[in-house]
Amino acid sequence: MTDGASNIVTGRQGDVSSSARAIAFEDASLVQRCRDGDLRGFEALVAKYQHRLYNALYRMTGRSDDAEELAQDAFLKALEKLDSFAGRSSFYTWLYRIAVNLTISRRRREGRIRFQPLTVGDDDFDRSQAAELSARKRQNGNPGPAAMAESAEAAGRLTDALERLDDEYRIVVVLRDIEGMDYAQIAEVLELPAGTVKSRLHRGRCMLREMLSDLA
Amino acid sequence: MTEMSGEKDKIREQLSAYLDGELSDEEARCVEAALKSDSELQAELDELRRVREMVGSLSSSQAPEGFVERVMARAERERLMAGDDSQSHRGGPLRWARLLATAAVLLVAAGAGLVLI
Repeated sequence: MTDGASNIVTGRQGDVSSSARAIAFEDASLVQRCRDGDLRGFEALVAKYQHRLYNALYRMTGRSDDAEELAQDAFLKALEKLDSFAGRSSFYTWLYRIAVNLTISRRRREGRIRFQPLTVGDDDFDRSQAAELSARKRQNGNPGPAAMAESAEAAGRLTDALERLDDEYRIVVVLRDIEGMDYAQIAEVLELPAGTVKSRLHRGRCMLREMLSDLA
Repeated sequence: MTEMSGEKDKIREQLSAYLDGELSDEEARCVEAALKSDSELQAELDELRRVREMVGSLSSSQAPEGFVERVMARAERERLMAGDDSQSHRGGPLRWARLLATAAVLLVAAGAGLVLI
């Protein structure tokens, strides 16, 4: 996500706050059209958020077909549940919550999710996983971090590292570092205490650092 | 020594939130004070910053072409399959089409009834 988009999400600057308000107003108007039975309002919301939602889901699942199916399901679920959307959060935050819940349910159903207890202390850090990844890295050989971000291969390795994170960490990293959400928004989307978001994000970044920074 | 290490661990746990500007002023001041006197913590902060930048630099993937059309086709289909209850309360275009179709069927049926009588 670009800085501009990130700022729109977090509303850190004055002019950006007014942009965010304009977006919220536009979304509210489109939601109302949907409620009035005008599917073109829904179509406009799908067109508006399709790429953002798809990209986030792609980074969460690592598979383009899963990302498309989940994004479609999320939009349709949103349409179905539109009457329960009270407007306390923005439409996209609500949409993301639906999408993340669908993603978690699906991955849990498929046995692809590995959740840790909510309160994870230092001792719970998966050192065996980190050691295994470090060993794999040494086998592969690596460029430095700065060069990594510039190459397609680096992007592939980073994507791979993201995929290897447990879902609970990856989702928070995606929502923060790709989607640009602040901690309060992530807490709202995931329905978690802000403190849990904070510790999961830190743990997730530490694991990525372990996977990517040991570059001999 | 253990106490100092515990304090350092606490600071370490705050580094990501410090990077993201998510700490209170007081917490941020504590982290900054620790960073000034501890090059190891400073190095960890730099590494976390690089991780954040790298993840943020991943290219955005676009939804596949025709995504909107596929969602809308599913929406129409699901509304029809659900009997379009919600829509029928609100006078949407599908409702009028359905009412006209129903009226036409009734007219034909009534006409057929008259002919038989």
